[in-house]
This record gives sequence, structure tokens and C-alpha cells, in this order.
Amino acid sequence: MIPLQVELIGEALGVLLTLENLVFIAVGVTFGMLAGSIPGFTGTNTVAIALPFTLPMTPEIALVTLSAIYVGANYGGAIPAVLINTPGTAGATATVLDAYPMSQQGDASKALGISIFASVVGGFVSAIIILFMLQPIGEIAFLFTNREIFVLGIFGLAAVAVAIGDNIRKGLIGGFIGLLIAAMPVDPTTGQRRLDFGYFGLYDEVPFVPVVVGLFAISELFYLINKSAISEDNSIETSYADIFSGVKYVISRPVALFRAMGIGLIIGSMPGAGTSVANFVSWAAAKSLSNKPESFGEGNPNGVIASEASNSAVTAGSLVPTLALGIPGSGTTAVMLAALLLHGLRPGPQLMQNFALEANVIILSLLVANVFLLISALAVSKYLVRVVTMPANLIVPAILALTVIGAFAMRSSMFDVWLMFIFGIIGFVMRENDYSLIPLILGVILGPIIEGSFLRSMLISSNDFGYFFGSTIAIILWVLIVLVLFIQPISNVVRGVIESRTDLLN
Amino acid sequence: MTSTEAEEEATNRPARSTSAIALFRLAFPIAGVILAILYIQNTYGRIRLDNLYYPYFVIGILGVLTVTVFATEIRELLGRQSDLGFKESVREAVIEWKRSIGFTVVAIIYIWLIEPVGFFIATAIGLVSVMVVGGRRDPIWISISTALILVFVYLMFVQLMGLRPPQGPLGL
Repeated sequence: MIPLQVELIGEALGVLLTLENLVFIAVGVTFGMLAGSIPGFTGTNTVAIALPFTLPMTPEIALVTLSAIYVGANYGGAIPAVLINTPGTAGATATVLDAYPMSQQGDASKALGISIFASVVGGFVSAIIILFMLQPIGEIAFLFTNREIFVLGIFGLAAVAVAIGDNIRKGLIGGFIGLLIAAMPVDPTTGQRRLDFGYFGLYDEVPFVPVVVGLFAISELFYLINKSAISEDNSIETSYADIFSGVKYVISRPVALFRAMGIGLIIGSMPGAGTSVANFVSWAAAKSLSNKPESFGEGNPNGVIASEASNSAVTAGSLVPTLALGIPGSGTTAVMLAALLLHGLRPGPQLMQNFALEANVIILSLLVANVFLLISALAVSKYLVRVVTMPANLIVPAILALTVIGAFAMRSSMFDVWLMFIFGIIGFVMRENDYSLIPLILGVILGPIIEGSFLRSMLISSNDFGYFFGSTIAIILWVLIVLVLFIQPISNVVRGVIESRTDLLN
Repeated sequence: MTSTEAEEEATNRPARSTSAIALFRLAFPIAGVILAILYIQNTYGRIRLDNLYYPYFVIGILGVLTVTVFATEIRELLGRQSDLGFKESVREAVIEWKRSIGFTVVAIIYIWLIEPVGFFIATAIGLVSVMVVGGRRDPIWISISTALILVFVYLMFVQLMGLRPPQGPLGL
């Protein structure tokens, strides 16, 4: 029996489509988009901050509002990614790679149009699919035990290190330093302190918000302060025509759009793997399948589609393990999980039996929220794009103030502000020496998930390393890791041999 | 070729000293090595080895990668020519990045001031200082921009989101 029966959808629509709910969705999407567009305010931050405000609401309205904020914040992250080379959320990190070069080339409006439409279509269609696929996807997610999650994390890191930048070893160094940083707080099993330098702020976790904000936003300020504006091309045309040309571009690339959406859905439905993984895997897939892979990272619009459609699809996909298994698929869904519990809904396999109507309402609210997102984002994008021509000596101090309060917000900690600034300097040094920032961030974000999965696997297997090769999924992932790491060096060697022989023959 | 070297070549500037370039270029992997050493120093013998398999696996891989990157970087550095001495190179870099250095100093002072004087007063000082470092001199423009940013931050974060940033003696 399919848990989300078709007849329930009609009932859920009746609950959802009230004036009160629609107002809350509109407000939630707009608030989420604005907050998500502020560098340093991740979707997780935004939903977490909004969580206490939902306490007086009924469970349906609360969950609908939070879902709308989630959708808005998820897209909002793309706005600074396009305009100021700073992803507002971790899910928009890969968007930066092509959207910002497009902005620098005078195509900021088109990049925004692409990001809006890819995001909306990705979120809308994936929500429809999830509505009917909740149970089967939940069963696939069940196959991912700690062992598979550990190998999946390593695979994600390796794939990103290979896909980003020209030097695999530099990418991997960044990724493994990220993993080491994530392993600095207390030992998760014994609670013994490891390397926190005596700071309580590092005692139980390395907060990834200041790390992400520092590496991206603050390091960018070191460059921006030397410029007169983000884009020194004052002839940038900002018009709805350009934004709609971006929308048309997305419509003309259905394969790229649906591929990205599929990747987002699959990765999103895996416990622990959220937008931060999906947008990179999708971007890397688009790059490797492209006829012009070298144009990715230089302002290729397909890179923006790949990132935005996938991270929006994750929004729906990540709710599957959250609702069906009680395992959050991302940081934001972890907060959503708390919201479910806060409003009396116990997530897990029994949720579909006991709260099937509420589950339908949540998924359907994603559909409605995406419609509001399209209207809201199209309405304000024309004006947001002007940010790139504003004077840098106004933007730099404004971003500094916003990132300082953003880093402070989550834990009300000045330590996090200092941490953000230190990572800003580290980010500058890395960028100047051609180390990609992305693997480091991914290492810090995925580190606790990878380590937790590793430790639990070791506990289950009584420290048998062979356990990590004991399932078909794990073996497939290991093979993929080897392929990802060695295909490029081997192809370089083969190409070198062929070229040298060709030279000799000539 | 790093971005610094690419810029040098593009602008036909004299090549900086190899030791100065090496110091900067190897800074990130060296930081990683120092972190790994400190990690081992703080954990080895104190935490059960079973619990250290994972971080030591990470350190092991990191060590191998660092050695290979060091070898490549040092080989490249040894093959380069330099026109300037160490001190001259540092002076050149300071001139090139003077605004970024100024921004760093101002940002550190700003963050340091937040707790003793309060978020809004510190932010006002920080905003004005960063604008001046960024080359803005018009006092009216600076005053209006600072006021607008502060009002936005207050409405968005304090009023709408209910955040409580650090307050100084004046309650701001």
C-alpha cells in the first residue's frame, strides 16, 4: 500500500489551500529568500531562527511556513552566488563557479534568470515525484547503513577534489585538512577532548557556518576592497528581458535540467547527504558530460542549471529520509526534524501511518512555495542585480557587518566571529595559491558524518576493516572512488605517451 | 603558475624573491602539517588507539599528499629566477595589497571592539573605517551609508529575528 495515497492528496490540498496558509507561504518564501541571500545566513540558520516563532502556530501552519522558508532560503543562496561570488547557503556553493563569472562577463541578469527558473522547476517537479515516490525512495535510503554513508562521504570528497581546480592533490589536501578540522572536537564515543586549543567554542563541534562564511565571504572582501565595484563593467544591462532570456535558456535545456534534478533527488534522499554534496556532484556530472568541459567554471550557464536544479530537488528529496526514517538529509532538514517533534509529529516509518495527511501537506506546500518563489524572485531580481554595480567601498563594510552578525547569530558566540575571520585569511591564502576552497568546506561539513559512520561501523564489526567492503553498494562506491581518482592521471599519462609518439613520428 | 606569478608576468614586474614566494606558497600545506602534529601530540597515548583510527587515517593520507605537493612546489620554486631580495619582495607585496592589509587591521579592531563597546557602536566605527580604507572620503556619503546599514541590521536582526548582539556600556 502506497503511504501517500492519491485520495489523501485531495484532502491535503483542502487543508493547505486556505488564505491563512497561502499568506504564511508567501511571507515564508520572501523571508527565506531575503535571509538566504545574506552571506552567512544559511538555510539552516534561517529555519532555525524561525523555529521558535512557529510555536504558537498549529502544526500544519508551522510546518508549511518552515517548508516555505526552506524553499526561499534554498533559492536565496543563489543571489549572492551570482552577484558577489559568495554563496548565501552551502547548497549554492557550486552555483558560484559559473554564475559569478557570468556576472563578471555582464550576464548577471541572465544568470539570475537561470538560477530562478532552474531552482523553481527543480523544486516543483521533484516535489511532485516525491509525492508519489516517498515509500520506494525510503526503502532505498534504508539500504544506506553507516558503512555506505562512510564510503559515500569519501566518494563525495574525492569527486569534488577531482572536479574542482586543476590539481587533484591540492584539492585532496584541502579536503583532508577539512576532515581533520572536523575531527578536532571531543571524541564522539568517549567524550575525551582532542584538539580544541582550550576554546569551549570548539569543544563539541566545529561550527561550519563561520567556516563557510569566512572562507567565501571574508576572503572575497580582501579582493573586493581593492576594486571600485564588484563588476567594474558599468555597462551591465539589467532588464527583465535578460532575466527571461535566462528562463528561456533553462527551458531549452530540458535534459540538463532533469539530469540535475534526478541527481538532487537521489542524493537528497540519502541520509546525511544534502545540498552541499548534490550541487557539486551535479555540477561535476554536467562538466564531465559536456562537449566543452573546460568552459565550466568560466561562466557556463549549464553549470548554474546543474547546481540550482539539483539543490532545489534536494529540498524535496531530503525530506524523504527525514519523514520516512527520522534521519535528516541535510542541516536544514535536521531543523525540520526538530520542528516535527516540536509540533507533536514523530518522524520515522510510522509517520506515514499516523501522520499521512501532515506528510502530504508538507510535500504539497513545497509545490505551492515554488510557485510563490517564481513570482517573488522574478519581481525582485531586476533590482537585486544592481548590487554588482554598487561601489565596493559600500558593499565591503556592509558585508562585513552582516557576516559578523550572521556568524554570531547561531550560537551567540564572539568566538564564532573570530573563527570566521581566521578562516577568511585562510581562504585568501588558499585562493592566492590555487587551492580550491570547496573541498575544505566539504571536509568540515561532512567530517562529523563520515567520522560518526566510521566509528559506528567499527563498533558493529568489532574493528574489522573488511566490513567497509562487505556490501554491494559499498563496493560500487569504492570502485567509483578509484575511478574518480585515477582516471584523470591515467588519461593524462596516456595522452602524454600518444603525443610524444606523434611528435617522434612527425 | 600561481595567480601572483601570473600577475607578475602579465605586468612585467620584477620577479619576487624565491624565499618570499615559497613562504607564502607553502603556508597552507605547512599549516596542515602543524595541525596534524598538534593533533597527534594532544591525542596519542591519551585516547584509546581504537578511537584514533579515523583521525590518524586522515592524517596519514594528508601526510602523503603533502609530501607530493611539497616535492612539486619545491621543484618549481628551485627552477624560477628572481630579481628582488626578500625584504624588497615583502615591501612590494605590502604596497600591492595595502588596502587588503588595512582592511585586515580595521576588521580585527572592529571585532575586538564589539564586546567592550557594544555591537552597534563597534559596527559604526568599523563601517566608517572600512569605507575610508576602501578609498571613500565624502563624509556625507559615509554618514548616510553607515546609518542606512545600521538601521537595516537593527530592523532585520534585532527587530525581526530577535537576535541579541553584544551590548556595551551604552546599551547599544
